[in-house]
Amino acid sequence: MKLLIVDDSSIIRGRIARILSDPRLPEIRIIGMARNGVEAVGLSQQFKPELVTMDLTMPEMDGVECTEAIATLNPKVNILIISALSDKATAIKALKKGAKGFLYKPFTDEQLIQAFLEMID
Amino acid sequence: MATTSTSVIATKSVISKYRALTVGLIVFWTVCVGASLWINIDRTYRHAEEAAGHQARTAFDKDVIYRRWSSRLGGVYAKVTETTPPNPYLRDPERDISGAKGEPLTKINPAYMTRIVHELGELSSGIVGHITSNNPIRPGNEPDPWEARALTLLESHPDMKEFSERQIMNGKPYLRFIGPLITEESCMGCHAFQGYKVGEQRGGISVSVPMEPFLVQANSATVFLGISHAGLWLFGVVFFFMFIRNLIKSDEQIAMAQEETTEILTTVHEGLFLLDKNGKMGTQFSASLPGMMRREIQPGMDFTAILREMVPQKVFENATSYIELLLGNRVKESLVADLNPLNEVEIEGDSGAKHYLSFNFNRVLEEGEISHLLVTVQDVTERVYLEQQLEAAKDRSRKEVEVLLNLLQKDPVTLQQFFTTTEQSLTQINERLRNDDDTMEGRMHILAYIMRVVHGIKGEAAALGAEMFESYAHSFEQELVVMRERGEVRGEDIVRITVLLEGFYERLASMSSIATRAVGSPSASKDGAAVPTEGAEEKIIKSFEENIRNLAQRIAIDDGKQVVVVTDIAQIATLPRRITKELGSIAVQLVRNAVKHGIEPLQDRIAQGKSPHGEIQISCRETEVPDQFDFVVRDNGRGISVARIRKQLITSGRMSAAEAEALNAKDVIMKIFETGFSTAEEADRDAGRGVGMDVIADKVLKIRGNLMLNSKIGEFTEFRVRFDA
Amino acid sequence: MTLNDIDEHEINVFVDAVVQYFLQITGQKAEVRAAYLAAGETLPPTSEFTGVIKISGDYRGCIYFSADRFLLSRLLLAMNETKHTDDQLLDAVGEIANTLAGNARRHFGEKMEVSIPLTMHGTEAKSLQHMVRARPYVIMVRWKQYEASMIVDIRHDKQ
Repeated sequence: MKLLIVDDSSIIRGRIARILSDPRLPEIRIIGMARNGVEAVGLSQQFKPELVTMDLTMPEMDGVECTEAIATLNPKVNILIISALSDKATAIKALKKGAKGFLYKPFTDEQLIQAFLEMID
Repeated sequence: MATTSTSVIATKSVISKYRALTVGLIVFWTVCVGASLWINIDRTYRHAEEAAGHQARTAFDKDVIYRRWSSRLGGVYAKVTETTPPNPYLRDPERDISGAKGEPLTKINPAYMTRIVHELGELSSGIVGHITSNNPIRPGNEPDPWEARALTLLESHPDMKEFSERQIMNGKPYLRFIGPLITEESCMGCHAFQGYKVGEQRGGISVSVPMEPFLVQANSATVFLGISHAGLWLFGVVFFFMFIRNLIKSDEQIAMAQEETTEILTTVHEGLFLLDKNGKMGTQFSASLPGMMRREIQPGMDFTAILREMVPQKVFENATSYIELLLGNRVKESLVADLNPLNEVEIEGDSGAKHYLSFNFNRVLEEGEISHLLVTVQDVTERVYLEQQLEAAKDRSRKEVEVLLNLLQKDPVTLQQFFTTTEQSLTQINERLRNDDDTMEGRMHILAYIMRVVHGIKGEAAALGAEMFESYAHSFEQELVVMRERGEVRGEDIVRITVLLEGFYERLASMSSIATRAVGSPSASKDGAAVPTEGAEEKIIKSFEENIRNLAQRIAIDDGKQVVVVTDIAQIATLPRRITKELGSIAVQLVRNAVKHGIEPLQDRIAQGKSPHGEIQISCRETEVPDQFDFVVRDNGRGISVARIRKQLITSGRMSAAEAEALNAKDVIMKIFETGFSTAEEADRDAGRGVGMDVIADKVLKIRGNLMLNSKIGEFTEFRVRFDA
Repeated sequence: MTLNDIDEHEINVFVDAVVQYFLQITGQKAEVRAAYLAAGETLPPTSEFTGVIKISGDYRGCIYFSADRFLLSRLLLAMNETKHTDDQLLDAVGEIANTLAGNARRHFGEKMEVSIPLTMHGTEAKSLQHMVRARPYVIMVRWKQYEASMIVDIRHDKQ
């Protein structure tokens, strides 16, 4: 499965990359890491990932718009929103625009794995 | 139990409902089976009749054909025998002829032939044939009543080709058949003279077929039908019973399940209801729901409308989006639970108090498709309140720590001073409590004293801006006020006061330790105490002095004495904190002692020619031995009287007169450091319990010092603590 | 107002135990004469006979009840006991400690596990150190003209 990570934090990117080796998850390959919306849409067009993690707390990007763009390009994509809990309204908007699930910060590795498992299901 | 009886009632009503149905079905079935049986039996017998009739017809037709043949032949001759005599009724000149050998031959006319054949036939098959006519030529051919009737019927109805009927002949059942004999061309040869016309009916042939064989067959068929129908009926009845029983059972199950659901919905604490895709509530909901939501709930109500009234616009929008998402297929239920915007909805309580409700949504699937959302409503007021309290408490402690840290930065010495002073004050309170005299009056005095001290702490805390201490002291004070108003201090009040005191100690200790840690490592000496910065030294000394002075004044005022405190304690600043702490307490005790026991009341002093003010000198100086210090508290009061002590030893029962006399002066004096000793004549409220001295002794031990006492009666008392720093 | 771990509620359970005990046995209540905090290093001096109960569970520490032979003798007398040997005096103080234990169990249930009372005579008790509190509660109790001390040295470990 192809995964696109849309996040400006190298720490988060590292964490996601690390948990992919958990035996419970199927083969997931990271096809790209985008730091902003343009990159994200471009990579998604190019590689057509089945999975996308989208950080809503990035300063220079409207995560909702980006979600919408990617979901329109590829209706079958599974987008996991990552966000801070206080921003419920935006997260709900993003879900309406095509995301499948939501994980709030801070999260443990285990929570991340569970979220991936649900997304793939 | 209620459950059992209601289900029994349910069963009864269910059964009675089905009774009618059962009866109806059985009746219906019986009627059907019966009808079928009747029809079949009827058909069987009809069939038998038809078969017999068929046989009769066949016989008749055969007769007609043979007659036709015979008449067409023009004449058939047979040998004359007994059985075939010439036919007397045949008027024919050619009736009798001779054969080739001259044997007599006679003409067998068709009627004759028929009759002979009939006779033969009857013998073998039992079928009775009878050629007959209403005006017969031969007498034997007369019709019997039935034949006569039948013939007449045939004659009057020319289109009737035949007539048959069942009849009993000779007690046996027969099918009697009669067919007309229609005159044909070939008959005319012989019968023309009789006036026959072609096409005319001239009598007929009756064929009577015995029904028995057919009936036997029909009967056995009937029996078979009977048995099979009976079996069928039985089968049907059994089937119906089982069918009905299943219906009853499933009805009961449904009723029971319905009852269980109702019971659950009645008792469950949470509010439960189903939400369909149009935002409408279901027909069933839990009994607690209307109460919880504080409004009337009708089945099928529009939940979104209710929601709009309950929450602000933003929350409403989020909520409707959230519900939409859940009703849709795309989003994963488990991954969006945290986004629920309705987990803390404020609602007006009964008495104006706020309540909080949480709405939780779960998908309900029907055949794999999302059909509804199950909504669980809970009252989370308590949780919310606790959270709020926790937040508030956190806020408060944060503020306190902030204040503290602020103080630490700005003015650590003042803060330290406050800690020290307050601790001393608390110790004083504790001492008073220890020496409690449980008379009404004594306790009221203690109360007053404690109130003063606490009030003092409150003031100091306020001055510092240490709000926590201030408010704690205030609450403490308030409780004391109540006790004072009541006019009595009971045993449990004393306990309560002790508890409040402990609370004070603990708060002080925790704040103090934070302060110590905050000031902490870099500037700490190896004792863990903060080495004071320049200028701070002075402050420490100052605060020490002030405390002692204030203490002395307080006690003096209490006692109606006048004292002056003189200090020389500059060197205290150089001592480590653990020592100065103990010295402080020691000083407190000694000064108190001095004021209480040493210094005489104003009048006495004047009478003795002493200055009206008693003087207490406190000093702390290094001795000739390096790092060795003497801490001295000296008063110019009445001095320590060995005799008085000795007397006290005897009167308090601690030892006998002999033992007391045996002690030398030094030992006598040392006795005052033992527990339970006191020289105050009457145990009064501040002293006289004999515990001050051993506290001092204790503390001296703590700093590994020596306590020395010097005194002269009427002149001075001097306590000296020698220790190494 | 107080967020103390122990407050008068707990202390009064023990005080009441003693008060009621004396009332039941002798017809005369005991009373709180004084209460204060033991702020020194060692526990305040105890009398000749001491009963101790150890506490564990949500609470931990000890409760001491200490009385001199005069009080205990008088108590035995009130119970119509004529023999007043040291062992019996020790038993008497043990009885009081037992009552404390019983009351504790009744009031605190599972939260407080109470040991069987121990008794100590004379010098053994003098070496009692602070167990858990920096300033254990000392309750001076008076019965008739006698005095006894009860030391409440327990903490409540919440959470």
